[in-house]
Amino acid sequence: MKLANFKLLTIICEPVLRASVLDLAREHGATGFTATEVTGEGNGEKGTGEDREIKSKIEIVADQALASRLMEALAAQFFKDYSVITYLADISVMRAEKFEK
Amino acid sequence: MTTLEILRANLLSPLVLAFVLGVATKLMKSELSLPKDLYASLSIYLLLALGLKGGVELSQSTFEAIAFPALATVTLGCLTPISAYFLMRKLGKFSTIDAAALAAHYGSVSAVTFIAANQFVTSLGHQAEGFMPTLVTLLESPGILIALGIGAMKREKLRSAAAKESSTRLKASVFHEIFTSRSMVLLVGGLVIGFLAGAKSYEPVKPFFESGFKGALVLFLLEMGIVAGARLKDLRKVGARLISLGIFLPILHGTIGALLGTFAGLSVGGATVLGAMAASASYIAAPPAVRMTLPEANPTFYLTASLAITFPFNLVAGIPLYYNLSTWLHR
Repeated sequence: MKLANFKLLTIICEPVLRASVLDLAREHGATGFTATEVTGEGNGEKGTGEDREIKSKIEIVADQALASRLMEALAAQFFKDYSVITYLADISVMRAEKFEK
Repeated sequence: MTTLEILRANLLSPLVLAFVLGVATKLMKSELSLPKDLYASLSIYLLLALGLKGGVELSQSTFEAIAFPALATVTLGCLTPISAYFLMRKLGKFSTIDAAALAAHYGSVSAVTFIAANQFVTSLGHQAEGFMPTLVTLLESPGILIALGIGAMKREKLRSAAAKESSTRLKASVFHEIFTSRSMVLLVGGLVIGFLAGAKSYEPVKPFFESGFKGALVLFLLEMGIVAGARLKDLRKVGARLISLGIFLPILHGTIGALLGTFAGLSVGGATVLGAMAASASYIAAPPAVRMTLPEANPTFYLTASLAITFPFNLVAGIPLYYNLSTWLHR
């Protein structure tokens, strides 16, 4: 079985940001995403316009370069005023071509 | 009926009691809450039912009957965000951005308050004009847009003063958000359907939308109570200023609404409902629009004010007050 090394970029944010985060990901060249509704709480709760516990969790498979660009863009646009966290994990995927533009 | 009797009847209505139960549920730390999808379904049902009925009645009203009330409503829509902004600035001492965010909520309208006011006047044997739901759609957007406009302008000023990045104009996405919000689509959509279909073809679907309406509203208010109850602990955070303004603003706007409604030729019922509409603060359309446009504004202020202060106030005391005022104005 042939596996390729990629990054899994996870963004957990206020639901109101979901569309903007996805737009940003597309602009930077992400080929797809998985989004789920989750609940949780963090320490720097800035208070959201919506139900406090509900957050959007967006997962994007990306190469290192794309993941870094996207994280920087997210940080610049949203970290100051919104409740957002992002993190990266190493993953191995089949069919690497699915994640390349 | 004396004022006291009216207040008592209102307090003991299933709507208000269901709301109180919701609040109590939260205070008791019960795990009860309506499933999210049921809450969403109920609001779709209520708003569409409201639109349909309003549309059918609109098809039977004349342009002359609706022209002045519509004008009064648009006037209210432009006036209330500005008065809310200045009061929040001057009396509330809120920052420009927080004041604009609050004004967006007070300038817009809460559909549930509207429905509750309608039920209230009906229970007292009055009938609000059939075209009132049309007025709700007129009142919904200008308030949010004007207040967000004020906020965006102030923000621009602050930024250019600090020589930071430029241009924070109202984005097209915010307009899109406001005009395609759940309540707008369902209300306007329902109005158009009802208007085009007319009374005769509405007849077959009428039982579904009308006989279950009040019951659905009781369930909805139970959830509203739970949501408001969850915000009660924030009352301490927001302070006495916001609490007093959260009661004073609806009285002021409700009075102006009942006055303008009466001058525009609305009945006692209609003027009461218009007063309640002007007095209400939005909590469905406004919060996401504000969060996107004025992210620096503190959501605790506007959510607590509209959900935990102004909504319960209107439900319990405001609506009877606007009714008394309208009755007096119609003498």
